[in-house]
Amino acid sequence: MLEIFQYSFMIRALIAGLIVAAIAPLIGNFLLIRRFSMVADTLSHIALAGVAIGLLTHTQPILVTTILTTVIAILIEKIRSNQKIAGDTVLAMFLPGGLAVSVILISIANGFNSNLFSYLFGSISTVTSAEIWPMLILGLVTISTVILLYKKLLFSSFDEEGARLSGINVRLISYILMTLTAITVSLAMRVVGILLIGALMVIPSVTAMQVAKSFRQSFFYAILFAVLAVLVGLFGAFYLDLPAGAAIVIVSLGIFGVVSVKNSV
Amino acid sequence: MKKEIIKITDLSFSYKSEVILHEVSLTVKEGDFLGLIGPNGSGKTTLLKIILGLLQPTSGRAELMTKKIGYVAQKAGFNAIGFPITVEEVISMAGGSQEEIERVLELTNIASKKKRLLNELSGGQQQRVFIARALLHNPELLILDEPTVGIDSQSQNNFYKLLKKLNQENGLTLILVSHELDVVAKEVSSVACINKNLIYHGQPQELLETDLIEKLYGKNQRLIAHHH
Repeated sequence: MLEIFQYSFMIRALIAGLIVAAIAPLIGNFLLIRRFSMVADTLSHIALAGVAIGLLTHTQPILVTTILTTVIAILIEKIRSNQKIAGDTVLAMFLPGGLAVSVILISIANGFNSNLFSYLFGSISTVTSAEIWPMLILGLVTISTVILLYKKLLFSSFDEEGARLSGINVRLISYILMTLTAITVSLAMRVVGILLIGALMVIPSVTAMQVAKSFRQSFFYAILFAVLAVLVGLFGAFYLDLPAGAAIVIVSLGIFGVVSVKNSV
Repeated sequence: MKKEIIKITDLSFSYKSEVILHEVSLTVKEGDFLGLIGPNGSGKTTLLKIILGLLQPTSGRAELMTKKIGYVAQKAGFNAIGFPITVEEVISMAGGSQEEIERVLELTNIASKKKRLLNELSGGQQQRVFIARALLHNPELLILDEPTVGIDSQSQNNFYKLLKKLNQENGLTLILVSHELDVVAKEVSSVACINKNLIYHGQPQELLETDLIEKLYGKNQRLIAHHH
């Protein structure tokens, strides 16, 4: 057996990584089609505030983060759908807002500590058994919701006005998508870290766009590329002693580069 | 006597202090092929949104006697440009069984392209896909907003042939919104011209009189026919 599988923390890391690899591109595809992929980055900065609150109040950071990012995600969608402020402008307001709140909370807590640092850049190898279960449940909820609402999510992302006129409650569907995005961001922060979440949600989907011959196929490729990035990234991190989150993102970019070159030849 | 599908009575719409539509009254009957035309900023898209229930009139009424409406927007699917999505997927996102999807694919002559990616098709073919999707739930009324913008003249000809077929053979009521007065006047069975007010509603031939065109687009305008 490979040395990596002899450590229970690496087994947990693999499980956590694979859960995130399955759901991040699932949501990423819909965000890309909406041209709203920056929402993942914005929510990750909100997540930082959630982690800071969790650490300050000694509550489970993943729980506080999930609640906070969900509330803010719905608020972002509410402001965007009123169409008085453009979507990217809303994100440009909330991103520094989340960071500002985090900086204040961190300064109250007397600066960075190693715990906060692990959320910023990911610390997949320190994922505990107690964290695996909520990750698995939230992951399954996300996958089931996407399967159940697939056509409605697709129609409202592809043609919002057309979907509304065909009787779909576009606002509700958008709130659901934003909630799923918030959950995914909260789960992914332990794997790749707050600062790198956006990459895992977007890069595999963009890579899939280059090879897929249908929207359904783009899910298959995006998840395949994300799983590959997590596996190669984790193995690389283990054997080369690199930070796992960063390794996963670098591998993800590498796959994008290889596919792009192969496609252009 | 033909059933009324839309009845607009003394409808006005203002945005802040600007009058967009002023006391427009118009009736659309079953089987009509109406061209709703007017220059940019004439209020035609606003009227369309009021008909579709997306906007409320400031005064007057817009009654829609059917809930079975198909709508094709000017930039339908604009968001997805560059994203891999097949013709079949664009249609099936509106629901419907495989049999129903096949039916609308046949009806709009794009069955052979159902596995192709949307962004590999020409502008005219893409519009057919969006019409197919709008037809999926057997609408009684199909509304098309500037459907031929950016489409070459050969594709436009085929496009109008399809609309005539849907109108004459399938009995579908059609409203075509356009600023292309000359083209639309040749294709539709009746024309409603608006420029804040309803300036003309009747047979397209009569519209080609110069004074009506002047009322619509201002003085010193003349009609230049497109030959396809």
